[in-house]
Amino acid sequence: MSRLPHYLYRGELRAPLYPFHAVEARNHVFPLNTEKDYQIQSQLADLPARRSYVLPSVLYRFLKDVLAHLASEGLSFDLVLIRLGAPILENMPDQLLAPNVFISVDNQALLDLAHHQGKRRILCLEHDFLIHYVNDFGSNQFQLTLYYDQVLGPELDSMSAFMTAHNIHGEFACL
Amino acid sequence: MILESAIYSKLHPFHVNGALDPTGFETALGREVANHLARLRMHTGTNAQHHFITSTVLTSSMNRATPSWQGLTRAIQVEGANAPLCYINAYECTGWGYILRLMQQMQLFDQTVLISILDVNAFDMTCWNQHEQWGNSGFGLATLQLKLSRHDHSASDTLQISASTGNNPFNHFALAVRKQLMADETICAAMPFFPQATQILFDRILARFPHLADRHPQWGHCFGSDPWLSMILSHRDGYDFSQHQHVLACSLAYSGYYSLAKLTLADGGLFDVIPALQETGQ
Repeated sequence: MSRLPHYLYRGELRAPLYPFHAVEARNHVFPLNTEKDYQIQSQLADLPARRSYVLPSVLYRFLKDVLAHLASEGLSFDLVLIRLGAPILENMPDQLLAPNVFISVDNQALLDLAHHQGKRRILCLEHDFLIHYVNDFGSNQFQLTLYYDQVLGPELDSMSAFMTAHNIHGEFACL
Repeated sequence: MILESAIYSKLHPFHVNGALDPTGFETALGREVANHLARLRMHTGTNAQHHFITSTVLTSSMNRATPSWQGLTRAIQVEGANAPLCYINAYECTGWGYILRLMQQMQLFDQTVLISILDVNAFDMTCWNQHEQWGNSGFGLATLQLKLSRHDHSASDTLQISASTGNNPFNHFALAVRKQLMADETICAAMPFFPQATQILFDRILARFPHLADRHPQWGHCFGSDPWLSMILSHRDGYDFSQHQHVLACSLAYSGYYSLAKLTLADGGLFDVIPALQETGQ
């Protein structure tokens, strides 16, 4: 099995994804109810920093907008794999519940299986955004990988511009 | 879609010498999962090609902090089992349905697939013990052995993945179940376990249609395991499944997503509640 050439975008979020969204917020501290819960959680992982770029609802909106932007560029996918450490008690938009979208904690084995099963057009999205939520993340890196059976050019420029417009700075590489 | 076997074990919070131990937790949980896989392999003689793990409760702990997905995977492999393909928690109690849909998308037909539904309150967090929507929680591990056929892919009623809209997701969900039962008299529904107020609603909407008994008073809400545990317990109690050709597994998530899967229980399959290693002290 030979893997298709693919396009890898790596970027870093440096400011809020959308204007007018809170940078610091204290919602979504779930599901800790009692002092004991906080004590236990603090032994397992650091509690979230006060600084937060992405609220869960904003993350979902962003992922939805990424899919919409790629669709507007005429790209369609057999499979969209999203790495997301949900649930975050925020209803996912319909676009993220579409039949070709699958969300898991780790994409790699699924990606291999998808290649093995002959899927030619695969999109992988992985974020490492700092979310104001007890579990999450931190380095504010974002990665988008496009496996596509056509040569892409202008579409990548457009996607890079989209990222920049959302304060994510990075670039595509063809691998 | 054939449910070849399904087993369930209750799991209690993990403490090592009375203290939290994330590494110990990963190992203990990996052993429980591997034990289920071994039990199924021993009974059915089948080596499953693919294994998925889904959860509602194990959320925060599976990303970066310990216990981690990688740690759990390692612990399962140490026990001699293959690494799971992936871990899913985005869809809460309905994750198993999304896995079945992915199997269809990937065209994994006529292959044996395992799904472990793992919900354990590992560190006895009070916030997970009960909730106003689902009442008391029930924690444990269910492992399903399933096989999809090509026919399932073309049959639109085999798998329904959707989301409730409006103010009353319970009502919307129960109506979706009723629609399936009305369309096919060969189906009996295995519903999720919810407190009495919700059960009254379910019983009213499904009054004329076959559905398995609610087990919430004894077992609590067991998250994504509910419909499978319902089948297991009914099987154990001698319920005559031969009067229906199919069972409809039904789960509803807190966020309103729901999964409905029409399947057949295999003759001679293993359908049982088995003691966890944690319980037997092994």
